Amino acid sequence: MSTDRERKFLITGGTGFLGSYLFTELLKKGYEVTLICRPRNGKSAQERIENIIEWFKMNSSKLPGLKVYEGYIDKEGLGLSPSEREIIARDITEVIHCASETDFSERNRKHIETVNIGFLNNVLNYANDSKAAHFHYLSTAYSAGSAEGECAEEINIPSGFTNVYEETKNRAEKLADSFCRDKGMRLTIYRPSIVYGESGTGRSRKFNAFYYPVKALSYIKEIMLKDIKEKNGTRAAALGVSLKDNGTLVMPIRFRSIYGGSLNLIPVDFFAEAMITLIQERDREGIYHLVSGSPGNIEELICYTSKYFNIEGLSVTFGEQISDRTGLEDLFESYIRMYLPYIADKRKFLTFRADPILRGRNIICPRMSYEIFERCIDYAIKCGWGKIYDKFRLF
Amino acid sequence: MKDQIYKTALNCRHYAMCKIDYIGTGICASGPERGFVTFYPQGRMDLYKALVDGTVPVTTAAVEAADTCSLCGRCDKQCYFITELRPVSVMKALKDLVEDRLSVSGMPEPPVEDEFTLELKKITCEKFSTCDPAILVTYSHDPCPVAPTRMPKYASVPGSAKEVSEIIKLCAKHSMPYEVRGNGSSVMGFVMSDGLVIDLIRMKEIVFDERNWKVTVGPGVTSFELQKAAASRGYRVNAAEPSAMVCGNLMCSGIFSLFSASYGIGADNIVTAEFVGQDGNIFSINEQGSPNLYSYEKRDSAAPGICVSAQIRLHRKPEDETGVLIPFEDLKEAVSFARELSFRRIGSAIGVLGGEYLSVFTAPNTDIASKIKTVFTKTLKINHPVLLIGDRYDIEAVRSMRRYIIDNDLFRTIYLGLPSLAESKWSELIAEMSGEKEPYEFLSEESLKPLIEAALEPSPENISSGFPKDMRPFFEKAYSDPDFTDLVRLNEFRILSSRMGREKHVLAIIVYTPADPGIISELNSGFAQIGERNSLKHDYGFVTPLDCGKRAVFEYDYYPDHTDQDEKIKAGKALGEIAAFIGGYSAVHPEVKWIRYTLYQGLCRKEHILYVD
Ligand SMILES: Cc1cc2nc3c(=O)[nH]c(=O)nc-3n(C[C@H](O)[C@H](O)[C@H](O)COP(=O)(O)OP(=O)(O)OC[C@H]3O[C@@H](n4cnc5c(N)ncnc54)[C@H](O)[C@@H]3O)c2cc1C
Ligand code: SF4
Repeated sequence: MSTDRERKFLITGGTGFLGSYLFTELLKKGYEVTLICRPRNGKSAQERIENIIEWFKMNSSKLPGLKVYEGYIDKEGLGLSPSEREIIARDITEVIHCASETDFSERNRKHIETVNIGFLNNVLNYANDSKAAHFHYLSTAYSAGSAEGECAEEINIPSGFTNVYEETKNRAEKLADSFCRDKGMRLTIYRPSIVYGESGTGRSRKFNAFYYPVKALSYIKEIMLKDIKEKNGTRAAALGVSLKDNGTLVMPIRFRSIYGGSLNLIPVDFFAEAMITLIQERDREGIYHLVSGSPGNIEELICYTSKYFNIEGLSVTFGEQISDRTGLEDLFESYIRMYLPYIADKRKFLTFRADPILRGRNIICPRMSYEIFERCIDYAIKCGWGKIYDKFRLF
Repeated sequence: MKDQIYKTALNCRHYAMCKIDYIGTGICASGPERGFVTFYPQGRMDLYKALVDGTVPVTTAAVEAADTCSLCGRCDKQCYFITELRPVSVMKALKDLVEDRLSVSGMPEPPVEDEFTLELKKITCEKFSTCDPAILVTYSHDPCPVAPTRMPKYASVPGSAKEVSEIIKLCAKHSMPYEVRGNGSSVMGFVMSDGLVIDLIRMKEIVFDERNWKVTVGPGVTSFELQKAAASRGYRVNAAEPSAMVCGNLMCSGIFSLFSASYGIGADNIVTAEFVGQDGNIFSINEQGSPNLYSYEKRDSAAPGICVSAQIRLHRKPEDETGVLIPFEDLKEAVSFARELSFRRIGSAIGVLGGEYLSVFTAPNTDIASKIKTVFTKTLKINHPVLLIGDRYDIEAVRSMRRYIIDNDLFRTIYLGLPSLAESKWSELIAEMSGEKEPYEFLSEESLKPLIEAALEPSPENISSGFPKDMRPFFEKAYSDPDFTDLVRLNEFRILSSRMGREKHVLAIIVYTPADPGIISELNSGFAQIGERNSLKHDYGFVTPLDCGKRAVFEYDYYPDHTDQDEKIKAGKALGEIAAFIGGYSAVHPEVKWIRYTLYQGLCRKEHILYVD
């Protein structure tokens, strides 16, 4: 059994949203971290990681515990040379696999399967060849499948899935489980729900999931205001949009939801702290839900959005279909159709295993409040929803 | 500044778009008056460069070329529209340079005329034959990366078939090598000679014979001029690049266009043609005993003679004709769809385009083009739109086959709103909201029209904002003409297609192939690999199904910077690999044929080229 100082991690997906928080936190805690990263968009693996470190306001020259290798998890042996493999094998005791494809689209099934299952297989084999003793797999709470009700912290055998993402994450968990059993490697599976920016600062490196519709509304508002103020506003009027004297934009859009559903959002700072805490619990195996104990809902988010952007007319209706959809409602319909299982979630993620450890250390997921929402959207807007790369050096 | 001017001159693409009045500016007045390319903006660009390089002295013709430019500014708009170059700065510099040099030497150098020149002049009259190096140098090169510069000794612009015949006899007598030239826009080094260049531009006869559904054209008639004349009478001809001479184009490539899907290629579009043979005698291809130009052989062939007139078939244009774009993400799917349309005889013009064409053709400048390409291909997932021109029955059929189409109204909205689309968050918005839908599906949702229009703000002013300030009023007026945004007109007149050479010169590789999605996709990958290997910009061009979807013509493009020696070397190497690749591929699939062998065999029957191994 290795002591804390001897624990050395190899991490995949370090340039991703969650992986980046994880490896930087581990470095801050003094662990040795080896990252496997591919070059992209003309940037070397090293440069990409340096950019991330800078974003986290850390100094890469003062991180002796960090090693970066150009590697490819789509290849057997992670595309490393035999000598690199040998050096890394000496340098690591555990593997944390964060790389994953979060696309939901059935039309991209093949790709999603390849990334979430095929690449995991490569990483598992690599971990085994490197004699790693412990495999940490970053999964999702939604691997539990689509059935309503309680979801336990165990390998689930659900009757169905909402989409190919959930399905592949479930299959991946099973693969990791049987592989690790077979090879005698310890396995821990972490299952976060939907992750957004930092609750305290609003900072984030990714602006998908709940950010998308908020961003869409802010764009539409901009377009409508321009039409009203600079043109004659006929296009806005055709969409039922008008401007009140007090500056409030009236934008009637009904968002479809399911009564009693919830939206399980967790801030990335909670995620990172919770996962690191569990990792630090040496030799701890099993499955852990990293979710909000008091999830919010779409109604709240719509209230926050209306207030933040000074919009009137956004509302929620419950049911299968909205009759006589307007153009703007048409725009949101396919998004809602795809994300409804998350926006109006009837799943309840049990936390019997994670809770005692996390609560014991006072690590509690905050509920999304207006203040947190405001901080997150302020930050998103400030960095152009992730577009102002130069200034904030996101990638 | 000087460097910039020189660079502009160096960058002339020789696509000859300044020789046709394609955007309503009119053309350089001295061109038609003097005939030689030297008196068009294109020639003056070459002349300026040659004078700076010291390749030619300031001669009588150099002075004339400089003096006859009135700095009217037309060529700035014409050239900017295609290549983003502003030739007027070169024209001014040419005038200054000539004046400077004359102030030192006092007199221009007169050309030294030999016996052959005098005999040529006897045939064409004084004005239209020359041995003045200032003129000759403008016939000495083109941007082809593998063709060396060849300075001719003489140049003539004959005005009739009789003059052409006499010139050929004269050449035969003196064993003088010659090349014949249309507008030189084949840009493959075909129109250079060490002896005489015969420029046919003055032979602009167009005579309609509507009773027999044909029009007779002289070899100096461009596609644009013929299409315009035909359109004014309610007809259409199968024509391709607007600046290409119809006869030259027939001889060179057999004229393939998106309309070839219904009008065919090569002999399909001609009734008959007249030639001046190598002995200088005139023959018609409809005469017994004439050379058989309908045949095709897979070999490099010699010119059978000079085509001095061709009778081109006229096609009727339905009044309810319109254009649509049918978006596809995947090439194979798009090719299958286009093949199906062709097989079912739906539409008169069909083409599977690529993101490069769509963005480069429509965008007013390179910057917007590159942004738009990302929007079309990455965000909206329109990688391979199928363009179809058809009447209302065709369009109804297409609508029943595919739900989402971009009709001409929507195309106009996108086109006139391109600068906003390039910047706008709109496309990102719909991509992120699309869920299981393809993002492009939103475009054609009627209910979203007000939002799209509000976001894109389509207007002549908006699209014209992509041009330099001083040109905007002109382009605002131009884009206010609905023809400028009409898919049918744009495809008939093809005023946009030479924009593909805007960023860099284009080297087009064209093959006839079975209209088989698998084969086309393999060819596409093979060509792409060659581009990658040689670090050359490259992209898919287009596919048009032929002969009811049995065959297709496929263009793949490479973009070497013809002003950069390194790139020219890379292009030369790539051409070698392309030849080997096509050779290897067609050994397995003999139906795949490289168009290079159609040079001088362009009049052949399509059956001979498409179906004889
Ligand atoms: C941007 C661009 C896009 C193009 N797209 C197409 C396309 O879609 N379809 C297509 O078919 N072509 C296309 N071309 C090719 C081009 O239009 C043809 O090669 C055409 O022949 C050029 O016409 P031209 O008058 O400029 O010919 P030139 O370049 O002057 O001559 C071409 C050849 O034909 C010979 N020739 C010219 N006139 C005669 C004559 N009267 N008698 C005998 N021989 C003659 C010349 O000696 C030379 O060998 C494209 C070219 C460019 C630059
Ligand atoms: S500026 Fe000179 S070269 Fe250009 S079109 Fe006018 S006259 Fe011709």
